[in-house]
Amino acid sequence: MSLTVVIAVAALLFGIGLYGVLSQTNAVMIVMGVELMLGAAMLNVVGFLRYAWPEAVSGSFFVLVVMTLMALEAAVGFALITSVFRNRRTAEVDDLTELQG
Amino acid sequence: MNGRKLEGPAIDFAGLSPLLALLGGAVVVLMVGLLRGRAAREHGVPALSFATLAASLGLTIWQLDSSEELVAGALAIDGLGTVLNILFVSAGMATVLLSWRALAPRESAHGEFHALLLTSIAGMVVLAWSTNLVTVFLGLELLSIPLYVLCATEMRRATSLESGLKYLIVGSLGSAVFLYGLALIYGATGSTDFAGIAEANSAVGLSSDPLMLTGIALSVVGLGFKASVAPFHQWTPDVYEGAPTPVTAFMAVATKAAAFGIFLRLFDVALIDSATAWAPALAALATVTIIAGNVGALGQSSLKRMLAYSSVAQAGYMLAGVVVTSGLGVRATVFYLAVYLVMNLAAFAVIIARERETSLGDDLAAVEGIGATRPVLAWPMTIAMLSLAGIPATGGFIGKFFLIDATVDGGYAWLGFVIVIGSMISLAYYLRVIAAIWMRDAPAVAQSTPVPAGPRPALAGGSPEGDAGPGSVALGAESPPAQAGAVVYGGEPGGGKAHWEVALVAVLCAALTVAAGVVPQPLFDLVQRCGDAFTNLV
Repeated sequence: MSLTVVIAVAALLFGIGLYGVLSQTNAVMIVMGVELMLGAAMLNVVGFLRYAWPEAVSGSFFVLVVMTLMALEAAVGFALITSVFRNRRTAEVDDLTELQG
Repeated sequence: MNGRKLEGPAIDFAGLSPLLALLGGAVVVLMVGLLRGRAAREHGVPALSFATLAASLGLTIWQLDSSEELVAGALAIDGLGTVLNILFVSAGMATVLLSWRALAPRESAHGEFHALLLTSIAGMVVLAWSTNLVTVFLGLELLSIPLYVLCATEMRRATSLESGLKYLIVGSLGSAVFLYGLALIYGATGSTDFAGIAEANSAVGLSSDPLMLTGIALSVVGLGFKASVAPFHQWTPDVYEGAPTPVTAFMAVATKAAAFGIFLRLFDVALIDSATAWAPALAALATVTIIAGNVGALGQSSLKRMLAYSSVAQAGYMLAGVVVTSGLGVRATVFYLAVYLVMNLAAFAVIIARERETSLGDDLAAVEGIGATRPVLAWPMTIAMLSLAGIPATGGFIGKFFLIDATVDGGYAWLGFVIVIGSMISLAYYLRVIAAIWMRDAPAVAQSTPVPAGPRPALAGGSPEGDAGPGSVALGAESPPAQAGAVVYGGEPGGGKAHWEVALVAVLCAALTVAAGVVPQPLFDLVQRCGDAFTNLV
């Protein structure tokens, strides 16, 4: 295990998440993709904290704050998806085409 | 580490007071929103929300001269912070007035609407004060998450929900990319503190460090999503059009101010020594943004969509002030933010007023002929459009002049040229609105241009002349053309009537726009304070 491995895994996670956001049409899957991307960023911070800058403890606060915000964002996201689903009976983003021009 | 007593950081409560007022107000407003009395909810909540913002404004002015760290290097109050604070809070006060008798708070519960609004403003304040990557991300999310919900507050209108969901997806994607960039910057410098980052950057010379460069690139992308910089602007028209108009007005002005505040702080303080790496890239983005925004706005018939594209173009102008990395550039950007705030609020206030008076929603037809019938709305809209286009004697002209001056001074004269070209293109769509106001007749009901079908009409505030008389029913194609004089503009609440507070916001903001163009000195003096945050700039 070394920093390179951690960064590589994080980059892979980020890529998978980004692919998920761009390729999925279900809003739930898109939010999951975003969560993966945030997770990748946190993994990066933890990796740097462990291997590169063990004395820079502010990194651990960073991870804790991000973790909280990630949960909030997911909660609000799923709440919005639920209300869209109630209104439109769909969570497919391809069907949300009222606004364009 | 073990056994050592941890000492809490010193907290400067006087400096934090504008932020604490907002957060305290949000809690109180949420509680008052639970009262059973209708008047308490419909008028008490907005009044309290307004009072909270006024208190925060007062505290900000009280702290105007302070320049110090607030909490352990995480937040700092300085010139830039206080000036941006004034902008956020003023935008919030205008939004409270605009949404007082709007549909959105009624649909979603008043307490929640205003609590979310105040929380979002608190997030902007955190963002504008932050001197640390952790607080930057915290502020960004604290401002964004309530906004996602605010966009969707007209819960029975499909477009409002759609705009909320779109904003959520794009916004959280932007946040994730931004966070990844911040993580890499932390990895390259070993510090989350702006001062620490700048120090590591200048000591080691990280301008060619791949980690640092990737981090900077991803941060630019992430902030680009927030500030709607092309090519990350595609969400802007959809979200602006779908959101309730008071929320759109708030988003357009306050979010932009917050995003540019952090653009200035992150790039001109923490990453200043890598300027050779990011400045040309940002200059290219600014050019693309100016062109994409101005060209996109040309063919729009929805005023909100048009203003959305126009806000993209304006973001490009302001980005030029970040690119030049000079004190002049910082002042020009903040000056433009202030002017942008008043001129856009004036335009949005007129759109809101017409949405309530007619059934045309935010279509261009809604303002046709108001020069003759509603001069109190026609003049603010005209002034706002002229100012957005940058005609002399308006704030927009001085702002653009200041920005172009900064670009020429900073060695980016070609970017100043792009701003001029962009303004010339923009005249086409701004003047179209002015022509519609003064040179067309008010759309009579019988010959009315196609009413935007489906999503809007039922919620736009009723029929235009519904109360004018039995003959002029909005839907009757056979009804006699309603003359302008037949339209009654009463002060009664609700029911497709004009509301005085909306007109007040429009007139006040238009007056300020002209004032900023004729006597810009007070605003210059205010903006001058922003310099003290940037000790490393000329």
